[in-house]
Amino acid sequence: MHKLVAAALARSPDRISLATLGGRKGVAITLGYLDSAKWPAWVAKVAHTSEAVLKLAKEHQALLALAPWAEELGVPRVLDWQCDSTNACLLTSAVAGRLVRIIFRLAGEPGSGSEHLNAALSWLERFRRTIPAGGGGPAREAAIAALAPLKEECGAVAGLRSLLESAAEFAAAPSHGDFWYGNLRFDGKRAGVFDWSGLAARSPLHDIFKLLTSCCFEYGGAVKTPPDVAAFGSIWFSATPLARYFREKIRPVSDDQAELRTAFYHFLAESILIAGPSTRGIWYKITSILERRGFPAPGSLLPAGIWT
Amino acid sequence: MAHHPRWLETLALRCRCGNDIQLSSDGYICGCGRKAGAWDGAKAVIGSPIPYWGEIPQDQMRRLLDESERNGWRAAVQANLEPVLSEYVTTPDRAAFQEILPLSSGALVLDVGAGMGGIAAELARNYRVVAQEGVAERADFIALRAAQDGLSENLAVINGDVNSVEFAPGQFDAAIVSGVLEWVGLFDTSKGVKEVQVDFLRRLRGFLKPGGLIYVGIENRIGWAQLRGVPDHSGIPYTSLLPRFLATWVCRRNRNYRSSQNVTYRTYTYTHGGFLKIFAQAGLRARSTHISVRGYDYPTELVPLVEEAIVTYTLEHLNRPGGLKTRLLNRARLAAAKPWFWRTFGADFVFVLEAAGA
Ligand SMILES: [Zn+2]
Repeated sequence: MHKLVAAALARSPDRISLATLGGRKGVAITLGYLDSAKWPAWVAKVAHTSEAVLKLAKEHQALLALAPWAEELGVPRVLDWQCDSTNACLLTSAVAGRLVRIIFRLAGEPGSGSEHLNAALSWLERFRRTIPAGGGGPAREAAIAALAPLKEECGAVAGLRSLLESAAEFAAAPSHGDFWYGNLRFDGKRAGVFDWSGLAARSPLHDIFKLLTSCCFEYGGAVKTPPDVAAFGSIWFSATPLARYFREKIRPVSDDQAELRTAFYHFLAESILIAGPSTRGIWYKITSILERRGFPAPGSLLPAGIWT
Repeated sequence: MAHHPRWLETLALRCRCGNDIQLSSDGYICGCGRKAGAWDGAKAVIGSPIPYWGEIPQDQMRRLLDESERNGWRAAVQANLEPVLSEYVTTPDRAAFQEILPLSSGALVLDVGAGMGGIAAELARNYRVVAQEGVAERADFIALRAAQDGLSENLAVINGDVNSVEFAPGQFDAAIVSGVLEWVGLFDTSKGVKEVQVDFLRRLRGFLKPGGLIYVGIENRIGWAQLRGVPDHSGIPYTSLLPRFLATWVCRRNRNYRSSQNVTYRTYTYTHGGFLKIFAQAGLRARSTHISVRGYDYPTELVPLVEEAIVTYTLEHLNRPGGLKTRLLNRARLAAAKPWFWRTFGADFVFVLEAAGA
């Protein structure tokens, strides 16, 4: 047990039970539950590899930057932090609420999932309004710096690389970076968000692309199965009722075709970068199909046959 | 006397005569003249060696040792063992329970029946570990992997049978008993199984410092895996569910290897209440109880018997909503997300025990 976890146990006047979720990319997650309380009292992430330590340090920085708005936005508060080169522990409050899987069927009308989708989208809107531009996260220079590893990773796809050159122009506001329903909790309709290691300045469309895409992929149990190439095509490049519904969700945020296109491929490049080895190939496949079509903006209609 | 961590010299064995024995350049020699053990360059050897047994045949084990020495243990394991076994030997996940063990860094930990050293080596990154292992080849393997991974300063290997390695009392901060308690009845057939198990735990309790802990990972006698027909320790499904005399009768009539070892069904597991009873008889009580959802061998996901934790875990592991069957199954799993249900039917338990008087 990390000593920050031991200290948290010692500080609590009430009995705390620990639950662990471990073994993901060098990070062990421990949740502390009070016996009769709803939701955990706190969450400890312990990083064991230098790569995981760096990521955890980024999350710590992000949470400190967001601290003034933590209560309002349902963002974890930092309770304790310790770090050296190969070991780090971040202790935060837990986000109130429970996991809700927002899942849409590709065929058919968007139905039951839309209530929580709307709650998640209005959280994003609140986030944009609450955090002043340039506040709560890295500035534009940092956004440009963050694009460098993306350009390197996507170097194989030349057109994508040049598209990313202009991504900084639209990096107007802080964004979460991995905004899918698994990183959200709902207390009734009130959403809270955790896992902030990807906080950076991006287009506000970025988080929306991530959220809507994740609502259409298979997530079996806690294990993510690979993104489905055909499903991806259907959401963003078809005229199905679901695709139209998603476009309506995006329009109020931006209708600028250049921003739509750039932010979309920025999102795609980040998906390649953060994907595990088992799913990276699929993101590359999606990207190369779109490359052959000249990187169309999302919402353009493409024949369904190209995805298989 | 080379290659052992300095601190091992301060760890005392207890001689039959009642004196403490510490490691010297001649090995473990008591003032009474009795030689309790020796240091062979890589490991302490205590008592007489036990016959080889293990996950792989002895000749394959020897090949593995040779190759480990030449090519490094990780490469040798990957080349020589089946993927499932290779994962079992190499994964750090087997020691993931350390996240719930309240130990301070540098604590002295005894890994009982350390096997291929998966747990001991991982714990040695944070604590000082004594890996006790009865089979000589496996003890050698643990010493080798520790040396190659640069962990020798924190890991000492003792090759000796669980029942014959007698430590002086009050030295350890924790003892790890992962997948061991259910087997001890086979190694001492002089008394009843429960008695052997209680005596074993009581003995371990004696090795602990005041405030010391025993970690136990073990199956639930009536867990959902057992109810589904996963083979019991006898090698035969459902034997844990039977009254013990019937289980014995079934083992006698079955010719599978494990049941022939298990002549009079001696690999007892218990229900939650049954475990608490034998712990109490050994002067111990559970400080915490978890269900290890991936089995006690992979204790990465430990769920305490607290309603909110069980509901959270269940929600995160539901099947994707699909047809009627998955919907019904998901609904049933949510309905069963209750402490009483998990306590009764959870597959594997993970207990952290402390002395009852503490
Ligand atoms: Zn003596």
